[in-house]
Amino acid sequence: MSLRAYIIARILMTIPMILILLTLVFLVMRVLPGNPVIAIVGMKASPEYIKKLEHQLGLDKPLWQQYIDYLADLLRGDLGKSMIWGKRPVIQEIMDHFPATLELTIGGFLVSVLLGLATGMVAGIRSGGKLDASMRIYSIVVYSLFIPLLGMMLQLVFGVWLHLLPVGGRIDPGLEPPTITGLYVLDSILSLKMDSLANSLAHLALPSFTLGLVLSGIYTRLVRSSLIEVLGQDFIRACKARGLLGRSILFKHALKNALIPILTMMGLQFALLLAGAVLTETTFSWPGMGTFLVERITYRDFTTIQGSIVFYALFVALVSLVVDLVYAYIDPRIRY
Amino acid sequence: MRTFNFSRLLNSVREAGLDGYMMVIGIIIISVVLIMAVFAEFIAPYDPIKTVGMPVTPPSPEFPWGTDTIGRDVFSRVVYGSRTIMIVILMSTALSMAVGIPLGLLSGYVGGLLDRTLSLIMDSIYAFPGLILAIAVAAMLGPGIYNTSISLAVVYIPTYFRMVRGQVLSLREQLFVEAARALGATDLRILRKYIFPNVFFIIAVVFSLNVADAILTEAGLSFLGLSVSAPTPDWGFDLKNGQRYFLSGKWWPVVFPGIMIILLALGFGLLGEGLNKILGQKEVR
Amino acid sequence: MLLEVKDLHVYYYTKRGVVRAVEGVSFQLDHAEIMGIVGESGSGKSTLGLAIMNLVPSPGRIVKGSIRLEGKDLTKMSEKELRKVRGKEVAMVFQDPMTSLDPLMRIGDQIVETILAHEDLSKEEARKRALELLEEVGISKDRFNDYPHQLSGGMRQRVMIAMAVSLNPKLIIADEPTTALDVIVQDQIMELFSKLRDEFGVAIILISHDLALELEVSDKIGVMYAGWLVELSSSGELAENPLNPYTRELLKAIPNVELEEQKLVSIPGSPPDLHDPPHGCRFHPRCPDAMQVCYREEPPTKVVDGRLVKCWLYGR
Ligand SMILES: Nc1ncnc2c1ncn2[C@@H]1O[C@H](COP(=O)(O)OP(=O)(O)OP(=O)(O)O)[C@@H](O)[C@H]1O
Ligand SMILES: [Mg+2]
Repeated sequence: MSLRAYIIARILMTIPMILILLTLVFLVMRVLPGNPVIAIVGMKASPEYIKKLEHQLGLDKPLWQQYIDYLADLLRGDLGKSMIWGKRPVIQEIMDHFPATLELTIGGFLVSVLLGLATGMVAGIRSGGKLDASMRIYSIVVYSLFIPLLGMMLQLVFGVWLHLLPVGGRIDPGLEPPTITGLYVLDSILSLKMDSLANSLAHLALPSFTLGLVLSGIYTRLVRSSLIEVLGQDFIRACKARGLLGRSILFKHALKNALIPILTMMGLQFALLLAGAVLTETTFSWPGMGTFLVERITYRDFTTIQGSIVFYALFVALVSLVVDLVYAYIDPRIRY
Repeated sequence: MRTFNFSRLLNSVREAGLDGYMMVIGIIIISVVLIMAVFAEFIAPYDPIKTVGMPVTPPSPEFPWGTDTIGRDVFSRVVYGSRTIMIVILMSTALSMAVGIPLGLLSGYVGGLLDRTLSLIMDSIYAFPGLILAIAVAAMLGPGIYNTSISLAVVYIPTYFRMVRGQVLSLREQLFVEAARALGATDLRILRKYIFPNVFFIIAVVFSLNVADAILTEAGLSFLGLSVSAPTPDWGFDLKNGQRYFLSGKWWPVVFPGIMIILLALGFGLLGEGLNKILGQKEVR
Repeated sequence: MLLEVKDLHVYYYTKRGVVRAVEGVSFQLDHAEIMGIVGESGSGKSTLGLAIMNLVPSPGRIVKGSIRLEGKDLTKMSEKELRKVRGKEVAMVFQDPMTSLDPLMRIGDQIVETILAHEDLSKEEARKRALELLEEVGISKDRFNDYPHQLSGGMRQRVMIAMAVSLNPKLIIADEPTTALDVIVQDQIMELFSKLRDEFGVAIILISHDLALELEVSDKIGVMYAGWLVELSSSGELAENPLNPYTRELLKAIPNVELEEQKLVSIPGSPPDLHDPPHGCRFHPRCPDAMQVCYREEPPTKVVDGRLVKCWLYGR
């Protein structure tokens, strides 16, 4: 199969996944026992008001009609309008908050990959030994660390005691770089504002570390087992027989081969990052999708909740698609 | 049978090395929390939902773990909180298993279009961030122990489904199923007699690791205020309540419930890890 | 003399006990000589081959003996010194060319990498050399940028050989280089080896379980049984007049094309478990000529007419 055929097939495969996720969201939002409107306004609202809201949201139509409308709206890129505060289009609200989440997620991802690579490589090279056992315990313990508690501890130590890093927020007011991508770090670099860059990195440090540390344990395991498998393969022995440097065997040959199976699992890792980001954001008052979603849940902003979940679903599908395409690009064996 | 050979048990744990110790530590942690949950009335010195002292009193002989933001005894709330989380976890796990395992068995055994459809659905749910799915369901269902259990159950159905299905598929290929079929065993008998016992061990491992994860998800939900409703003692929610005083040095309303969350998740994680290695090795032998 | 192996012992320390994979093996090899090593599966051929490069995988270890390459003892070298020998002076070709190349690296780059690891050349020079080498082993230049999975098994083995000769080694150890390939390709590869020896004076240790093949290409042949070198003689003498009963049995097992009924004879019984080899001579349970002493004592290695044989038939 050529690379192009593979890409097309893979994109087509994403469609059922998206459809299932969208249907799932619809089921959760509309069919679950309980009337969303009552969930919104509470039991005590007057029947007329409930009727009015139901009509406004299209909830008085038959279910299949609602489903069609829902998909049709989505196809047009319409996620509806917020039910509170100026009733802005949900998609705009999301776009205000999503870059913050993306920035945090990337930060957490980098931290978890770096920590996971380091610990996993140590464990893999020293497999069976004391260091290996320690790394195994590291991976279990770290995964159990409850993000809010870990985050608060770090705030206390690095923010309050040591005064090294800010304890919350994305950037100090007034230092925001001009919006280009919405990622403050990137925008600061693009607009050459060094004080913004330093400030946003300082704000990013603790949340990224919290998120990354907790998820690094997964990479520890993945890297370890994958590396052990590769190190046992014939071509590594062949590399040694060719007199290559141990270092270059490890990094150029073993590690590269070990990372390929890990790459295929990145999509699922990313879902974990997004979930962890919700708790991290809430702990660090990080103005991203997570804090936004939780806030709107307390205000019972039904359309925004639905829109955000839909957005998450689409984003997850997109990431898994991209991961697979990158995999196809990197692994020469898959193309033919 | 009455004389339980303790030294032999200790020996086999020692033989299993790190895995054995991990398993034992996990079991100890889980047992302690279970005892707290079952005997909360006897262990907790105070009523967990009554104000019994000044707000945020530091730990003292009177209040060993201090009091929370409205003067309730933190220790008593933590003890009763173990009951809340245990009930939610047990109910949600039972529910996910009750849905995931039969569907997985069916899907793996029947195969064909049904299998492909179910797998696609389950894989899609599995790919979705668990906590966010739980948040969506919880937001629609509202607070409460039952609703929280359902929210968590939805998240973990695919895990059990995938695991059981995978096991059935691999076992299906194995000879003894073929042999049994040849002898005229009915499909149901094959499922019950040959496939299920094999699947059972894997379930034990996946169960432990899954519960570890579910504990963190439950705590996360309740930290976000989306789990049980207000006065009920709940670790994640109590931690959230203490957050605004934490950075001014009043650590006890946060740290004690937080540590419990971590310990309990760790307990199940260690148990699952240990089991996995020990059972896995048995298989090889 | 190029290589002198003396009283080599290689043991694997496994959980189940010690595996004496190579025990008391001694032989010598000259420049431009082709030596065959034959034996059944598990007799320690690969272990011996790897030991010569001091590359025995853990839990294995060289416990005794010396391996002198032009006088320098490889068992006493540091990792750093060994690295300069491996690939440069002694090269290895493995059995399975599918798994012996890095699947993620273009074959040309793998050759270039090997050259650069040992020689102070520019990338461009190394690339030129690699292209020449590919041509030399019969692979067209435009395959340089292919990945291993794009080549056939025979082509991959040629790449391995190109890599092996890339630094003009004095010795190539080929461990069942053609077992994974079909017969026609096998002949081509063997021709390639002969050419390497004739043109460049490379010595070759050719490991195989196929005695017929060895007889065709090798100057001399070592026969291994359960970790022991039980006979070592020139190919002609070995075929004419095998000294060890085991060699005789091996020769009988060669399918004879001239015989009308072409039945594949194999030696009755199976090789011993090296965790717990038989007492006395390790071959005695299967040996047609076994005597009393064979059950009790390990036979000595004797020199008979300039040939080595480890068997009680030739006395103390
Ligand atoms: N990594 C290892 N760990 C433990 N034992 C090993 C290892 N490698 C080889 N052995 C044992 O050492 C003995 C010799 O193995 P070796 O691979 O050298 O035999 P061989 O003659 O090359 O066999 P084959 O023809 O199958 O390649 C065998 O009994 C084998 O079980
Ligand atoms: Mg071998």
